[in-house]
Order: sequence, then structure tokens, then C-alpha cells
Amino acid sequence: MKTTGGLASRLLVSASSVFEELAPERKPLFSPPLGLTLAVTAAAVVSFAKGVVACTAALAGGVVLASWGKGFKAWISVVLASLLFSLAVTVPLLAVAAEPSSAAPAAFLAVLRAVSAAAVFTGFAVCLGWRGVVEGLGGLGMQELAFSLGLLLKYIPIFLRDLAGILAAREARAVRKGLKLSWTLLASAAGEVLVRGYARVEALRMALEARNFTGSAFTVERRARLSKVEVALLAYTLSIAAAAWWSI
Amino acid sequence: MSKLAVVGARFSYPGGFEALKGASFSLREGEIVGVLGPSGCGKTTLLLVAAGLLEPLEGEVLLDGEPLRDQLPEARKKLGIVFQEPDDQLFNPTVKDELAFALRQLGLSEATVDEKVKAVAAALGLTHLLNKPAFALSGGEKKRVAIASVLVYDPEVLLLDEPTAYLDSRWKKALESLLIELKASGAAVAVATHDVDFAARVTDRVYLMVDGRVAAEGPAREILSDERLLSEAGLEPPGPVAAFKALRGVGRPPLRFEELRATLAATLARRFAFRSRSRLPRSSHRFNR
Repeated sequence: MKTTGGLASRLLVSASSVFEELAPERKPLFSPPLGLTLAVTAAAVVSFAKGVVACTAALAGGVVLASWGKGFKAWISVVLASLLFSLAVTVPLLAVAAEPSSAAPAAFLAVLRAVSAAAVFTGFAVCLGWRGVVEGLGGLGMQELAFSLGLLLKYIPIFLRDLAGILAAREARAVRKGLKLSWTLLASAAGEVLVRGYARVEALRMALEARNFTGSAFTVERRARLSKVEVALLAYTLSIAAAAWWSI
Repeated sequence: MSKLAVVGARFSYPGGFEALKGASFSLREGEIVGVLGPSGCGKTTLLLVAAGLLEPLEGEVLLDGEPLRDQLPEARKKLGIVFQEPDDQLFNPTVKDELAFALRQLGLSEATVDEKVKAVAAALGLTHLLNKPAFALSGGEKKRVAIASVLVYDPEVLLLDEPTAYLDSRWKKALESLLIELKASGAAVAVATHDVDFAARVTDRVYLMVDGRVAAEGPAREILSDERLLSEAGLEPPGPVAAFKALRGVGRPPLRFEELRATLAATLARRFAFRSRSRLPRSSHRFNR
């Protein structure tokens, strides 16, 4: 969606587009419960890896998965955001370190861990789609969490687009333009967003009540045998785990 | 006996806005009832109260003659409500999950769920959208999904809030046919709308709401041809009534029974008065002669 609004509203619309891109129409490319388990395992082992091999493998695997799942744009957005945030944490630490030159490798590894964990998880998520992630949680026996996540994933883009709409309406009536104004308007829109959020929660409560909600809304297809792709993904995740374990 | 009745309901929203001020409403089996009125008159609140989703501060909701609150949640299977805003109603990851939600809650087998979902999706032109996330659909498609998500479990009472909003003329016509089929099958249907043309085509009876109260109630043909009543409720008469008025050029809708009787009485009275006036001189003339 293109917008002519200010920076803040453009940022919000872009963020909601990422969520929408991660919700493809097609079915997940592999079993959601297995895919989710592998995604969490790979991201977790990479987060604690002491060597660069596991991190690089995770990063490369993320690229392959994102390309396969045809969601490279969403993948790169998440990877760049995690790079930005991890740099924002590590660079100031380097500045205050007693010996910045000796702290640099550790800082580099910290950034690499964060980015590669985000990369591999997002790669799996792109292939599964939000629906697959939610189904995966349901398949792993976390029905209520799956349902809550399903609602969250539906409402985040709506919430972001609402906020972008409020901002665009305010910016259209503003005499001045600029970054400072965008962020001031964003802060002033918070109250309206809260009120709308309350109205949405009440509407959701009624929608759930109206259709006999009991908490068991998800059914997941269970298969006894793994496909070739699933075996390959399992082997890939185990190799990352092994690399991280032996600190290569 | 009414299938569903709201008796003297009062309701205020947090903040003090009194949306219903003693509104009453009833719905019989095999009947389509229209709830008409301007925006903010309490139509939506009346339907939410009727569906048992809002608890009235005063008054009562009766389903099959018994208080609805004593029958919940079992009675939910008999009631279906389509919200005004489809975004408020749709909360599942895909259209298929949305349509299957209520059926799965009812404990039906996946094969039955699949069969019913496909049937309702075909009826409302949603087959090609089944695997799409609901938030990625257009307004009209979302509205059709919202309607299908309720129709799929065959509720005995169907409450539709602005069902024609977002729908183009093709789907309005399809909805009309669906409602008429539902009526024929014995369902009780209430439609809150300010689309008087749609109401004129599908409803049997109409409640006209103004400021949280029912200002008038009666057969749709009668209420919807009363320009004065409609004007008081801030509504325009349906297209055919307006066209008839324009063609007649007399500035009034067809006569109602009471008006017809009054007109006839006045005409007869004038006629008798004329005859008695015209006879008097003749008889006096005769007398004089």
C-alpha cells in the first residue's frame, strides 16, 4: 500500500505490510508443528553459539528458506531491523569498554548471533506463514496460545493501519511538515488508539461469545511420516545445533 | 408466540450515552422484520441486546418465551448475529477457519464441517477466497464472509446489522434471495438497516426507531409508504414510493385505510350538506308557490 503521509505513518504502513506478506494464501510448505519446532530450535542454538560457523549457516539457511517461501522482502526487513537493534545495543558498549579492540570480536559475535537467530526463524516463518505458525502452536498442544497468537496476528496489521490512518488524517490538516511533527502527532494519537483498542476488544468479546467459543478452534492435520523436505530441514537444524554445540 | 422478544429494554454505554430508552421488539418464526432508523438511534444496540451480547439495564429478552439469559450458552446455537463492521466479527486466520469456527465449536466431524463450509462458500461466492486471510479481503468480501460465518450453522434466529453495507447490487440481490429462502424455511430474521429500499423488498414488518425508542411498528408496506413517519425518523421513502409521488404530482403517498375512511366521511358530509342546502330553497320556493 502506498501512502503520501509523513514518515511515521509510512513506517506504520510498512510494518503492517510485513505482517500481511507473512500471511500467504497458500498452505505451509511443510508440517507446521515440525517447522515451528525446528525454527525455535535453530534460533535458540544459534543465540548461544560461540563460533561463527553455526551463525553463518543459520544466516545462509534463512536466505534459502526466505527465497523458497517467496518472502524475501519481509525477511530482509526483519533481518535489517534486528541488525539495527543489536548494533544500537553493542556499539555504545564498545564505546564504554576499557579496551574496545579486545571487546570488538565479542560485540561482533553478539550482533551475528542476534541477526542469524532472527534470520533463521524468519526464514522458517516465511515458509510457514502466520497461519502455519499458529497451526504449529496448535499442533504442539498450545491451543490457547495459538488462538491468542492468531488474534494478535490479525489485529496487529489492523491496529497499525488504524494508527497510520489517524496520523495521515492529522498530518493532512497540519500546517507544518517534518519529522518532529510526525512523531509529535504519533504521540498525540495514542489516546485515540487506546479508545479504538477498547472498542475492538469489546467487539471481539461479542464476536467470540456470539459463536459459541469454547477454546478448541484449531484442528491440525497429523501425518505419521516425514516428507523428504522435512527430513532435509531436520538434518539442517541438527547440523546447526551440532556446530553451535562444538563451538566451531 | 414470538420466537424472540425484547421487552422494554433500557441500555446505557459507559460514559452515560443512553442508547435504548425502553425499546420493545418481537420476531416470529418465518418472518423478516426490519429495524429502521437514522444513525445513532439504537438499532445496533437493540440487536446486540436481542442476541444476549449486551445485558439491558432494565427489561428482558425472551427466546421461545423463556428468559434468554437462563438459556445461555446453549441458546447461542439458535441465534446468529452479523455485525455491522465485518472487521469486528472476523478473527480467524483464514476465511475457511472463519466459516468452520462455529461448526467446530458444535463438535461436528471435519468431513461435515468441510461439506457445510463448501456449500455456504459457494452460495456466497467465497470458494476462491477460502485460503485467504480475512483481513486481506475487500469490504464486500469481508461482509459476505461475516454473513456466511453465521449462515453456515443454520441458526433459527438471524439478526443482521446493516447487511447491505459494503455489498454491491449483485450481492444485495443474492442476499435478498437468501433471506427469502431462510424465511420460507421457518427462520426468524431481523434486519437493522437504513436502506429503506432493501427493507421494502424483504421485510414483512417494520420497527421505526427514533432516539432509542420504537416510534412506530407495523406492516412494512404501511410504514414505508408513510412519508411523514419516515421523514420524522430522518429517512427517505423507498424508490417506488418516491417515484409514485413524483408521477402523481400531488405530494402524498397512497391513502391508508384511516385516511380513506376520513376522506370518504368528509366527502359524504359535504355531499349531504350540499343536498340539504340545495333542497331548502327549492322546497321554500314550492311552499311559497
